[in-house]
Amino acid sequence: MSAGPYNYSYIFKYIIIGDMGVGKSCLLHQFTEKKFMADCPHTIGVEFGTRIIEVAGQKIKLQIWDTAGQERFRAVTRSYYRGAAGALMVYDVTRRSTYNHLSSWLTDARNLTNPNTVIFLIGNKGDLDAQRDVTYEEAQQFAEENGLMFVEASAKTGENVEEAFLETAKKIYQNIQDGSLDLNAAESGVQHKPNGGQAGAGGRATLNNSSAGQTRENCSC
Amino acid sequence: MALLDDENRLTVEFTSVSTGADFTEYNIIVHVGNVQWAVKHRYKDFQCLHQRLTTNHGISKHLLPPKKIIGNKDPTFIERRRIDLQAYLQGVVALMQRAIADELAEFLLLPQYEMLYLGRSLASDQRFTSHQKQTQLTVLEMHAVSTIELCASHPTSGGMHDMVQLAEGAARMRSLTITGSWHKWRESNIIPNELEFNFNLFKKLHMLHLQDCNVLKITDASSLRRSLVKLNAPGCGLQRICDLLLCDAVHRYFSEEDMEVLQSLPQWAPLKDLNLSNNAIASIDLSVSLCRKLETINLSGNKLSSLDYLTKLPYLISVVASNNSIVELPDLHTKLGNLVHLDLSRNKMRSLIGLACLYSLVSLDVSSNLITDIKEVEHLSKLPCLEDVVLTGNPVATIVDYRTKVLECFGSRCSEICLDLERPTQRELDKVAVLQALRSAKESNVSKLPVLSMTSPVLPLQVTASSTVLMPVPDLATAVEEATKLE
Ligand SMILES: Nc1nc2c(ncn2[C@@H]2O[C@H](COP(=O)(O)OP(=O)(O)O)[C@@H](O)[C@H]2O)c(=O)[nH]1
Ligand SMILES: [Mg+2]
Repeated sequence: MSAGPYNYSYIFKYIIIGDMGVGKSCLLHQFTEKKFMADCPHTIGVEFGTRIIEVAGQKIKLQIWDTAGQERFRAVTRSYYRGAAGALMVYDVTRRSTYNHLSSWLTDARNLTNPNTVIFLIGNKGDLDAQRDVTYEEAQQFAEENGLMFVEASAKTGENVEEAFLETAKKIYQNIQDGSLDLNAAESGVQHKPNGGQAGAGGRATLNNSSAGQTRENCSC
Repeated sequence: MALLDDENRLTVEFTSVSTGADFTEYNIIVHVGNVQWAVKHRYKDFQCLHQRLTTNHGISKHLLPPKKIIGNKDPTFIERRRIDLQAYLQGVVALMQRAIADELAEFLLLPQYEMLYLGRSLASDQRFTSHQKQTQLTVLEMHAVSTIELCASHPTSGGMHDMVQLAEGAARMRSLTITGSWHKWRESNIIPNELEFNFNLFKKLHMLHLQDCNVLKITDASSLRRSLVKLNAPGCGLQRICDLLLCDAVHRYFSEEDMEVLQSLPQWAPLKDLNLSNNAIASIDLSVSLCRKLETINLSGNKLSSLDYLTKLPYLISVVASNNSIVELPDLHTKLGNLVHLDLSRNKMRSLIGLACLYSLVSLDVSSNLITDIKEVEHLSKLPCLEDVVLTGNPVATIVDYRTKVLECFGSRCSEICLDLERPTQRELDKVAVLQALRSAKESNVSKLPVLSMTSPVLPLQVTASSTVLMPVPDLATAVEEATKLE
């Protein structure tokens, strides 16, 4: 069982970007651990999480880079755009400034990812409706104008978190199926594991024991 | 430089005579400006030259002192002949100062030492006339090409034809190696590495290898910036990276405050691969940000103690920094992002803690450092993409059951780790599985007790079941035994 076989057939790389404090690390934690971590420490440089999901009967391992929003880490986090199949761009619905900065995040993302990278816009902290500073409609319009997928979510309640990560994966998978994403291209952000997805094969098959093929691995927030 | 023009005239001088059993050789020093070189000729060489000069160029027959068969070993005769031959050669040189005959030029070895002649002979050299995959030139030849290129811009010079040929040849080249030297060139006082050169005619180079060159003598690298994909400058005595990347700039060193100025300078736009191994670089400076597309940098064999400013390179995949003076690299993930290959072999690292969050790393070479404790390897245990780890040559590699202990750190991923270029054997994996099983059993038994040191706190419980099932039964007893001994 030296180099596999793996219990998933694809690896998709994601990057989460957005201003500091919008809830990027909490979204990742909610997605990988199904828990809200209210006192998430500041991200230094970059953090990482994985989870195996299923799209159209295929097991897909998501490798998610959670970047630091602080300006002083901007340079180092920029390098993680390379080879990202999906980019989750997050703002905080209760802080207008984080929404205003989206265009600068989008510029980075467009400049540094490949043209097929799926960019998904998330308005986080949807649970704090009373403190809302950005309307759903204007963000929706921004997303449309820029060709982004969009939801409002809450890392606290978990609402729409799953959806954001899964919809991104579906879109990437669709791009692979219709040939618009070339798997052989360097930096596509997608790796294919030909032997993957076969239950019971090899030493790592036990990971399949967990429900619905959704397995959590180490998330370090 | 040796360049014949109105200011730098050609002069010759006979310095001495060497005599052997059956020959007498005249040592001639040729001067052009402040460049000089030595040429040796016998009387018969003069005869030969003279004959060609008289037939081809109408030089008077009587100028050459006559041949003498008997008594030509007599010292007073030799001394007189030396003076006569010197007068002859000086006379011919003076006559031809404006238009030196090729026969005379060859006699005085101008094509070896004088730049217009050297450039002209290069113009018909097959390196410039035919297509070659890989071209080799010396710094002296580069200097000659640059000289021709500069002279061609003066309407008076006749170098236009050579220049066109050189330009065509140079534009065909894709891969070029230039060899420099700090030693005197042949019999001259020319030191190649003191000669300036430029790349103006080399417009389409993809690969440039500078061997023992003095990069500070590059007067124009702008065409390189537009075309080079790979640049190698190993062993060029570089002390700073900016001395290469800004070799043709007046102001080379930039600090954080001048970042804006630096950003306005022309980039090494297509450059992907930079090899600066075996120089004397003590730190990485901001000039690397001029190579934004860089994917691979080789800094092995320098004097680095840290890895700075590499965050300026968002496409960087591979860093080779072996054989430097690195002791520690705290929080390297804040200085390097999305790195795939890292070679830190032959440094002085005691700890790997700074690498703990380089999540994108696939291969890591930390061989021949000072890593002593297996706990240091645990810092690598959460790197999710890691596949190749080289730890040989560290004190830790000599401990009992080193391989199993290292593999155990990687928990459920241990079968994916290639340690010291070897994949784990089934036996090793079985042993690791038992170790892990024992540990987790212990963990659940003693969970109420104060903390025991657990080697692998992230150990997933599921592994226990599967690995036990996978293990061939006859081996179980031995494996458990060995594993227990390990404890
Ligand atoms: N109410 C609420 N608070 C959130 C939510 N997501 C994150 N937070 C809080 O916002 C703060 C910053 O979150 P963090 O994930 O560290 O932000 P990051 O800098 O983008 O990674 C923390 O105090 C979180 O508790 C959310 O959906 N709702
Ligand atoms: Mg964070």
